[in-house]
Amino acid sequence: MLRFILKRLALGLSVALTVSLATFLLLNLAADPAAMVAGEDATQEAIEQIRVQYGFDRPLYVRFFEWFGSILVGDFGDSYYWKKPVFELLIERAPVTIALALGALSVTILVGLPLGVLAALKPNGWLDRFALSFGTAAQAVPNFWLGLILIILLGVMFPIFPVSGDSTWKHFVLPCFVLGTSAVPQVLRLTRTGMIEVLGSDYIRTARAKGFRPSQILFRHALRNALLPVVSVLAIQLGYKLGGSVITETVFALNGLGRLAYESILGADIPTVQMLVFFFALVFIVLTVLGDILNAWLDPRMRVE
Amino acid sequence: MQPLLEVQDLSVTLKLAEGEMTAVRDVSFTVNRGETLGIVGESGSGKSVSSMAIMGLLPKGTRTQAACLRFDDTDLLTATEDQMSRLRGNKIAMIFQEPMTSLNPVYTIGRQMTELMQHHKNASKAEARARAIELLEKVGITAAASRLSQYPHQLSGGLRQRVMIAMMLMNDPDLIIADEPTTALDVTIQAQILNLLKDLQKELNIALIIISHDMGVVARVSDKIAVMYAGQVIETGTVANVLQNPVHPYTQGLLESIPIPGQIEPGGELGSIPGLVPSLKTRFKGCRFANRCTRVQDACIEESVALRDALTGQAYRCVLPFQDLMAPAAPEGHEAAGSGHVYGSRIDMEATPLLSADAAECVFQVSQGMFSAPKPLKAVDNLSLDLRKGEVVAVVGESGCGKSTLARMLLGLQDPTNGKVTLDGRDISAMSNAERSRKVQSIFQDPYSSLNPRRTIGEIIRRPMALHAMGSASEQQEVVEEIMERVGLPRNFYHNYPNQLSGGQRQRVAIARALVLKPEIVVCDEPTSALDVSVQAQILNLLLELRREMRLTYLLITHDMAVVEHIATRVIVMYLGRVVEIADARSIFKSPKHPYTKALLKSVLTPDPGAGVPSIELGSSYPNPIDPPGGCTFHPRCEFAEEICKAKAPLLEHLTGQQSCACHMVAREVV
Repeated sequence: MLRFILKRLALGLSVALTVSLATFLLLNLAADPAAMVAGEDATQEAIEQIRVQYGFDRPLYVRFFEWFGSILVGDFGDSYYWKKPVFELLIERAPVTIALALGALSVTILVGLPLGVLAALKPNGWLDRFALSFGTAAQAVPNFWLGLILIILLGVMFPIFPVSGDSTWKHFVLPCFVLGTSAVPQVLRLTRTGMIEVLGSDYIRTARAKGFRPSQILFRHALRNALLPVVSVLAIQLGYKLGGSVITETVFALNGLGRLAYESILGADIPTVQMLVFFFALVFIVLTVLGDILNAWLDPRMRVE
Repeated sequence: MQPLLEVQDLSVTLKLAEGEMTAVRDVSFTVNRGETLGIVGESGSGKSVSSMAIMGLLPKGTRTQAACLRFDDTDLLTATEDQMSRLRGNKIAMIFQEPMTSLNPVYTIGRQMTELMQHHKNASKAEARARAIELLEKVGITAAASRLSQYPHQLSGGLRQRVMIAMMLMNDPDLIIADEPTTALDVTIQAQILNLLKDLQKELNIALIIISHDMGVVARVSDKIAVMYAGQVIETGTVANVLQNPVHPYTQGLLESIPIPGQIEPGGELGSIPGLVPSLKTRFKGCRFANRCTRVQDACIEESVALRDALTGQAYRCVLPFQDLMAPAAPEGHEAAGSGHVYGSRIDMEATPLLSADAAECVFQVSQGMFSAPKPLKAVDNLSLDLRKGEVVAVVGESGCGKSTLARMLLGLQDPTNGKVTLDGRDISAMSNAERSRKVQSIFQDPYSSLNPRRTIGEIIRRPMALHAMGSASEQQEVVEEIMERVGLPRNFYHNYPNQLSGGQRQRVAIARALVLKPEIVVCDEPTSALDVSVQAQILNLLLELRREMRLTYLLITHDMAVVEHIATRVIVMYLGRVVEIADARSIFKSPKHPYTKALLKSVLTPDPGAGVPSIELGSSYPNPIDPPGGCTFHPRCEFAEEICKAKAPLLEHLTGQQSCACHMVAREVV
């Protein structure tokens, strides 16, 4: 098991490095970084000055290894815009995003899973039709629109929840709901399909022949098998959410990583962008590995020797 | 004493999307403690539905009616769901066909066994564990205690079926229903599992219902037998009565269509039942067998028939008096056609081989995860073989022995890693697809997945001709229709799609497609194993007829020794990629030499009531081909194995005539 985890982590790290290299190249080759930092109306002189000042005049590979060497010792450089270490920025902004992501994931799980299971119990029954219509609707509604509607309804007309800022848990209710709902359809459908397949399988027939009651069969024998594909999707979904939802954070004025990414891209704040991309890649990798470990724990067949 | 299980006039109507379908009508049988009832029938005969009705496991919306459906003191018709779930797995246990998928993949064997006893008997964990170990030992599993923490995927099919049996015994059931318990297993394992079931039944005085399509299985283990056809029992009685003096024309036909070693002249025609098993969606009127019956009368078509007693002790469902039915029918045309034909007399074998493999080897690199180096798997190991014109060479072995890889190499679909395959004296891998496919064609096992569902029958058969641009479209259609007629397909099927055809008809399409280019060699990979017994005989007869008429040469890949004796002229027995014995068909059956060949021959279960199941002493299960045992690969399972067998792989040595064998013990004349 330990070897399995180590293998996955080693694989993950190589992916993170590849992603970092790609970002580095994109940022430096797609446009002249000096011109971006200098701004639109800068003179050629000013650009040249910045080029020397920020070290853009040195060869690409030198700068890559310099950047790479410093992340190995935990130094991500200073933000051009905020004028402080980008790592501090990350630490400042991350808690909001983490709270939002975990809250949203809970909404996804609490709505998507039970609805998917219930729908699968009677395919084409009224509950199944309701669940599928709900899924389609949730998929069709854009996040910003749902956010705005909720703000009008529950923030303005019936002021139950605050609509901007991140100081209390109440501030997180609406954004978590909005962000969580968007992933419900995928989880719902996957749970439903998985469950229908599992309930029709030979081993569930065996469980019925063993004399277990329907609820016991559902929870003891079927659920674990049906959840296997859902776990990987949930890991990816959490990744998206931790990567910061620019729209949701903007609509609800949450100062999280999504906003930070948005701002630093606009401001050509290269060190911040680079650190964020590296961080998001790491998040995805760690989560996929966690998903795999969870799956291996759930399904003995995945524990490859 | 009243019987343990009493089923009288059971009818089951299933609710399908297209409407209702009566899958079982007026089925009656009883089973006593310590007694075995065999229910035999082809697909769609309603045998599994009857058993599911007893278990109360039919889908919602199913209508179950019966004059009586009683188990012990419980009326199963009126029992509540709660009462039923207390019987299931406790008093009535069920064993299913698919050991590979019938155990939950995510839980350990131990958990799946113990939960059954904890659930029904409120047993403590320790009690249940002790019982599980005891039962695993009883079903012949070694190191039982350590098996409890294993998962199903870590066990072979045979072991899983043993675990399934042990699990179902946890609560000491009174009745076990085994639905095709050995169908998915290799032949040598089948005998072991049947013996195990039989022994346990005697020891524990259980009532056993064994459901199978295989007359041989049912005949060997049952006391009583019920033959089902199209949802009805058409003949029932003691095994000896029904099998030795079958009354109903269907039972008679079914028994005649089974190739029995030693009783059928090689190459002779098998008795077969014309026509197809009817769909249960048919609105039946009169006798359900009437359209396939050779003794059909006007009365058969009009009146439905009740089960009635013959004085011979069995009951049967036919309008004719049993004395008439038991008198031999007037000899018919097909017997004349089959007689007088002997191998070698009509087709002269030529000395030069048509197709030959010379020290051919096929090694696959099997990857075992991203970071470990792939391991070599020798699917076929140093195999030489000549196929001469007019021969029928059978390659026999269990799953994993490399017989299908061999077939692919001989078809030119798989290049040998070492050695070479030559066709008409030329290296087959140097030939173009077009050249090769004119000479060698193939028929596969599964007629359901080997035909393109989006093309019509005509298009499927015509396709090879179109690819070779043979003649104009109308000429091609002519040829196709001719060949369709030849293989027994009505011409008007030309525009039908495969899903409108039955399994047997689809296999005829596959045969027609293989023959349309007039090849010299046809490789038949398990051509009949997916078909019903009565249809199997039709296809075998067709293959033999075509061989005579078109001077074909067959390479037959199969696990079924009975089929081999019937049609092969030469037999190659394979074990783990190597040839262990090769001989003409007569020698293989008259004087088999290799211990493995002997075991395979012993595993053929002919419908021989009272003969019991032969015990096959093959230790351990079939080894993993990726990690074969050293020396003679068969040694861990061989009762004659000595030191030399572990140390050195035996070579194929010539014995007498056409017979060669790879065995140290045979060479030393120990065996």
